Amino acid sequence: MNALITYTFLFVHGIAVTAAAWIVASCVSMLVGTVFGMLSCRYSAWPSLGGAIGVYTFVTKGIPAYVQILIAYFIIPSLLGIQIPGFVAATGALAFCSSGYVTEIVRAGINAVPAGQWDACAVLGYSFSATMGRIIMPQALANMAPALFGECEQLLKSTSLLATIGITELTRTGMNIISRELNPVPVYVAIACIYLLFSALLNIALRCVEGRFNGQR
Amino acid sequence: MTMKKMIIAVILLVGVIGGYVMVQRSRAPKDETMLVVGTAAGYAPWVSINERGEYEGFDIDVINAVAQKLNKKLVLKDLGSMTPLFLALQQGSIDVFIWGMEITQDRLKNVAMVRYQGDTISAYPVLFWNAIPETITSIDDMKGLTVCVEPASSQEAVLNKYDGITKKYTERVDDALMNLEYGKADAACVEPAIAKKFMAIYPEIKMLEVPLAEEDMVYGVGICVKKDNQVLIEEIQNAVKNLRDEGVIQALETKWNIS
Repeated sequence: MNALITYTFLFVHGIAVTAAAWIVASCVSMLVGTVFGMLSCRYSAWPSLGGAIGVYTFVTKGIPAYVQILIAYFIIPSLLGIQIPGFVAATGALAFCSSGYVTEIVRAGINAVPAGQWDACAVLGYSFSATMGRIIMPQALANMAPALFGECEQLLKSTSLLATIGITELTRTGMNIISRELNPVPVYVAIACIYLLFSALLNIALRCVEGRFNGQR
Repeated sequence: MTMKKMIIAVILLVGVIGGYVMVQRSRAPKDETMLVVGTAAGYAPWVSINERGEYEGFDIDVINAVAQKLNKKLVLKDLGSMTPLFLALQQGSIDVFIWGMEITQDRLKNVAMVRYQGDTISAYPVLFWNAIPETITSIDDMKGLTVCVEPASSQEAVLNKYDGITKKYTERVDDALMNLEYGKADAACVEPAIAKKFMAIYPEIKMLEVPLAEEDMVYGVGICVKKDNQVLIEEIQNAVKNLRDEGVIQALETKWNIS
């Protein structure tokens, strides 16, 4: 317990880094995944993009996040002759990895909306963007919400992979403290509680979103 | 937000990221006034982060003193674990790395290592929790046991030579400690300095020494430098020799309780 108090500053720093990586990776992943999911759905206005997006999701889902982080941090900068900060590389790699799953969730959610809704929009002369934005997505989002929040939760746990390239996020902060104090149990319990707290916040957000959708139905 | 606006937003985002990356292009010649050093915190007493968020430890003090001798500004890069350290050195994104790395013949095939601490180690400690089983008097008796070892370490190279020992890979020495304490492994093979630290804190730990063959012997702890960087290798060798002659390294060994 004393160790937890002594290292409060390190814990707060670790929590901040984990939260920042999680929020940035989630936002980028959701944005890219939503756009790609809409572009690759059954009624997409650009069906020719479906193949390219299929390859994208195959690559992002097929390579482990750890390997993607190493590629983003070491191989890509070396090939391009540039420097990419560790946080940017690792967070980008996590977002890239997650966006493949989000693309699939969004595509499946949109495809699950009954075909009659699309037909009605076509009869009324709606454009693709109006159809998607006003009619299809609000219905699809209600179906997709649990899966999207699940992906966010998975992304939260994946942030511990940032440790592999030296970023002192929450898990690595704990490992550092353990190496100094050699008293692992209270530190790991504290880390688990902090992750659970993040998870609880996400679950509350999911309940709010679901409540709102249910209210609209 | 309409579809068009969303696409424009994505294009803008890609543009911003691309622009940022372009700005970061490092075409400038390497800054010779800096010594870029890779390391990885979480390996006390060699390298760790203290409660104020600062890097400290025996390795940090040594490399600070070396940088002063070379009249260069020290830039530390925490790379998390062994694989990224070797990758970064190979790529040239760091000049050297320091991480309590034992000098072995295997490692010397890939990198140059300048010894700054320790003597030749001719035996490795194998740690047990509470008691060493009566049937075990040497490593030859350890068939069927599960032994924790750090992957790619010199201890692993030694264990690889004995059939019948199940290796349980633990990236970190404190994970090995947990495995021992909670009965998830029978033993752990670690480096002598770590064994000493564990035994000072946990009286339950018992040690069995495993003698090393000549090719497995450890020749102290070294700073890793790219093999073709002969100038830097010689500079660091001279700096370390001066620090040793001045008694600085011995004083740091006492400060961090490393022997």
